[in-house]
Amino acid sequence: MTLSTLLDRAAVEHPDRVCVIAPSRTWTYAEASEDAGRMAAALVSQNVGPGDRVGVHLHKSAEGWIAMHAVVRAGAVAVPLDPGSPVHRIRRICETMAIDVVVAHDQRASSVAELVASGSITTVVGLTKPQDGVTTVTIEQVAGMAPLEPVTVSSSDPAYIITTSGSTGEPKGIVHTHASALAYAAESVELYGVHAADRVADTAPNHFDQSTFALWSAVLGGASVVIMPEPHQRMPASFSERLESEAVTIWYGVPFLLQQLVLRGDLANRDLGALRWVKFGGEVPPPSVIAEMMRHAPNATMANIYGPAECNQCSFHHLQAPPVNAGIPIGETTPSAEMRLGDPGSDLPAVVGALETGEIWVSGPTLMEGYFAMPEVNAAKIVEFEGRRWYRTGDLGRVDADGVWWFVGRADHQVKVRGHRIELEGLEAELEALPYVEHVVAAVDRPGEGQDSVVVGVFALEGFEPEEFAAGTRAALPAYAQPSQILTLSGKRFTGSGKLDRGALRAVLLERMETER
Amino acid sequence: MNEMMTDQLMTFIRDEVAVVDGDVSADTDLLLTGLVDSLGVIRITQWIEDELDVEVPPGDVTLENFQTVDRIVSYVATRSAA
Repeated sequence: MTLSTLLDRAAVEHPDRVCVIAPSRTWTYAEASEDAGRMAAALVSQNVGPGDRVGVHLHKSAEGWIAMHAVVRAGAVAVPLDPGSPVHRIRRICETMAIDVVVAHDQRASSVAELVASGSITTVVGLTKPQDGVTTVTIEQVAGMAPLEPVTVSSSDPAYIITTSGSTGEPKGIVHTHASALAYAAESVELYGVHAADRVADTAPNHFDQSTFALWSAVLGGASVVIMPEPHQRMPASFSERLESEAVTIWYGVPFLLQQLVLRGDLANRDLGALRWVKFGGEVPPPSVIAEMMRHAPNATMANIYGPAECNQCSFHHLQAPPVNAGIPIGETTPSAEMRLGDPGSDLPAVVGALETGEIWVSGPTLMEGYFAMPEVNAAKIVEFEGRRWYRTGDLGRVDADGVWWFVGRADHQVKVRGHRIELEGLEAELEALPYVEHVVAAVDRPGEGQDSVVVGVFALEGFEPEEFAAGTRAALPAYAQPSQILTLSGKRFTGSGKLDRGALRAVLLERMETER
Repeated sequence: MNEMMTDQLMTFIRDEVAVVDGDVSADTDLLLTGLVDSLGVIRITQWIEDELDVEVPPGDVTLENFQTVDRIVSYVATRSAA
């Protein structure tokens, strides 16, 4: 089996079962598969074929979920685009990944118009009206197509690409094959016992690796997917209302959202008794948040999931009781994964037990194929060892006396903000390209209560205008990376080798944030 | 009173809350447009509490009450009347 046949096969087996639930409409498996088939037919009518990359530029919606299935059904490679990203960033992704065709909705029309104007795409599928200067297949035309039978592809073919920002700010595409995607789907169905009666809440944006659980695992397990559109996620009380009214049984989300739910979700007035799994990953929520959630969702097991987007999931820790002072480990490896520690300076992982702390190396069938068109990065990050491929995560970890894994930190300057992965150096490089700045340092301010945000310090040049700079950051960075504060700095610091001491300056910046509160 | 609040709120959202560029009018969908993210919602709530001295219980921070500036203003009006 491949992802291309996944939804179709499920629809043949249980056509009338509920597949996707949006606030305004519900799709059965037969209906969802048919819609995906029509969209796939529209893509193929525009000469999209196996291996071609198709941008999916849609908000969290049933249409977005179906579009992802449509692209893989056509044998093509789905590249979900962040609807919160500025156009210039999306354009760079389209250009780097050679994306000509984009599936979009009217909501994204202005962004699409700019993409068209810049000449980076040739075809748009899914708008209500034709767009000037580009081939448009309208949503009405899509609805008139005969559903396409799944295109046969090989399990080693690429299926989807998750994009992140590299350390210089350039887009980096994490390529998953049908095999690596299905390996994760099968393993997660097994681990969480996903079955027909499950209702899986879909909160993660499609460009976020967590979304693969609701996209592929839920279908493989024959469950129903409850779409949680962005507006619901920004309103914790509306989010909790939907969790209750749709009787969600499994939710995999970012700790930030969990924290919002606990702090502002009015949980005292909600019945979350149907929830049986609350999984979070990427960061660890405060113990008090977990304890609160356990109180309000008495039948749910909390699970801390570890795994970079490069391998979906490699380990887990299930909490039976609220955590005590010791913190929350990343736990034990999944049955298919192996993790080892490596000396960050070494080209090979260490012998098991030889290191106390080191870089986490991961091997297993859920591992990505590699980064899109980045042979040098791939050679550095993916290493053959003992006849298998290993990925150097850049995460630092340790294994305790009981064999339990702990996340210690990062070997580089990658940070997480509300679940989003940000390379501070890449962000700094992007902002240093703006006019009238000499240097930019960025840090993550964590004032508490789930209000983490990026803050930026600028060494300004003559002519610097704070307003213009702020407008520049809005055009350059995705919404989650927007600085909440922009301070001008004076007094540079340098390292022993004469380079700007970004580490020290980040600390200065955070101190200023602290004193200004 | 309401008109003034509408203007103040639009200015506050445009200048201090919005994470993307865009017009803010009284009936702009603040959420679907991506103008206001989760932190923005919290800041708007705090603004109502601090500037208008109106308490906003978490259960009231819903799509119905916060989707547009107009809706926020009428929500605040009901709260003040209560």
